[in-house]
Amino acid sequence: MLDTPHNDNDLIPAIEAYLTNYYKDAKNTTVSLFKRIHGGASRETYSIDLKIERQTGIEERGLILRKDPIDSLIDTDRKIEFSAIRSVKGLGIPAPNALFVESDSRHLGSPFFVMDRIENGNPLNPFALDEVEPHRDSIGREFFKHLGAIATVDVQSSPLAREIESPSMDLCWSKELSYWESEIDKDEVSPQPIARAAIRHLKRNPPPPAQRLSIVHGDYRTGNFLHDGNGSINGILDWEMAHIGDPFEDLAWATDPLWCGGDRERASGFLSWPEAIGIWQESSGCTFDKDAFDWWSIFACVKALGIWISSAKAFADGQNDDPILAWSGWFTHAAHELTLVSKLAPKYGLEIPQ
Amino acid sequence: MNDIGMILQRVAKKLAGDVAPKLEGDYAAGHVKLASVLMAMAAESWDGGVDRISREINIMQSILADAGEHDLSQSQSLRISDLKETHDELSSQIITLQARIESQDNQEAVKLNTRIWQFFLVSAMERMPSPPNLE
Repeated sequence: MLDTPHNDNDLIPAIEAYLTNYYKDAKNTTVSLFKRIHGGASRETYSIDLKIERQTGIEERGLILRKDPIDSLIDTDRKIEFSAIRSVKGLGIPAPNALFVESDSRHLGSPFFVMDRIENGNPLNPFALDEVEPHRDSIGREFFKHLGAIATVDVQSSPLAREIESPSMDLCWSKELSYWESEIDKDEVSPQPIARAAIRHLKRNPPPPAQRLSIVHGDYRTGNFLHDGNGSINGILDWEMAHIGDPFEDLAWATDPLWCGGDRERASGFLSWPEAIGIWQESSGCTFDKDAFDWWSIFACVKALGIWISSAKAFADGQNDDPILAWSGWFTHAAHELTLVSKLAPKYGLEIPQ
Repeated sequence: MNDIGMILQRVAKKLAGDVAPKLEGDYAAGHVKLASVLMAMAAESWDGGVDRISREINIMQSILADAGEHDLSQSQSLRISDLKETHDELSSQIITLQARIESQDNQEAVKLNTRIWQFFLVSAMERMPSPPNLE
């Protein structure tokens, strides 16, 4: 099996050298803790305790290093993630403070970027949402408020707009659908009749045009934010699939059943649907449109299948032996196929008992 | 001893219960936990795997035969790899058939399409692994 070209600890001298050069006023930098964080199959993610020695004294700083793996769940440019985070800076959206991005692979073996670590941030497993209690409601309100706020960012002046193209409002859907269809074309190791049927359905029944062009986080969901343990979200993470598009895409993805911990009554497993949608509407300035939401909800399943199909291929080919890829290619693929069929089969004459 | 499902299930429990806790705090602990979950899923699917694929093959053959697109002959081999090859070939034919009948407005095509969705639903339900229980 292939693995990363480095033992994790082999990276430390290179990181120290890079950071000493980055902090121009530093005499020296020392990494006192270097620990890989589990779960980030799209990037290798490391937590770093750094000491920066200056004439004026020693500064201690917690950093997060996000480095490209040989293969990942998602093929994106780290510049996009970096610029997406930069795009929401200072707007009340709790994204990490992104410091710098390095595209040259010579330094650490692959491109990477660095951001400040969010201290006192607790992850939330979408399969164990009860752990958020007794703060489910307050986290839920913040979850939908921030989701709406992301949709209000001025797209054209954003750093993200300098990295990627903006679609027209009536073609957001076809751009995204074409991309994920091409991913399935590229990576399927066996025929995908359910995904193919869904793609044809989506093409035959396009959604209404976007109400506005927005920054779309692309993976906004439970499991991709940190909370402070007291009912507040203090970090929205994993911006690697960010793009410019229809804000309904994020709303549909965020409320996909897989991220709801099996809770069908509450949106994203947090709030009643009317309350969640109300908060999102108020924060985003968009008006909820059932046709748009339904289309993007089916699309969310197709996109998920695209990710899981690519995961399965990467694992099967031996490009990446992280078990998360096998889990994604098996369990979550099966879950999204079932969700997709449950949504679509009634449209083709099948009665499904609720 | 040839109860493969039982062996996988027991090893999964060993990994989750004995090995993973000793690695707590290390990056490898996550790998071990997930490996144990995958082994439990493999244990569950072991017993019914051939039966499930065979039934899916039979249903697809029946749909294709009724559409006049398949002769019902099949390989005698029950090796998973052989069944999977047949399954993949039939799945491709189902994709082609469904894409064709979706554009037709007659009742026969609509009924056949509903039957394909029925097949999708049953197969998706049967393929869904149980939430792993490593207690």
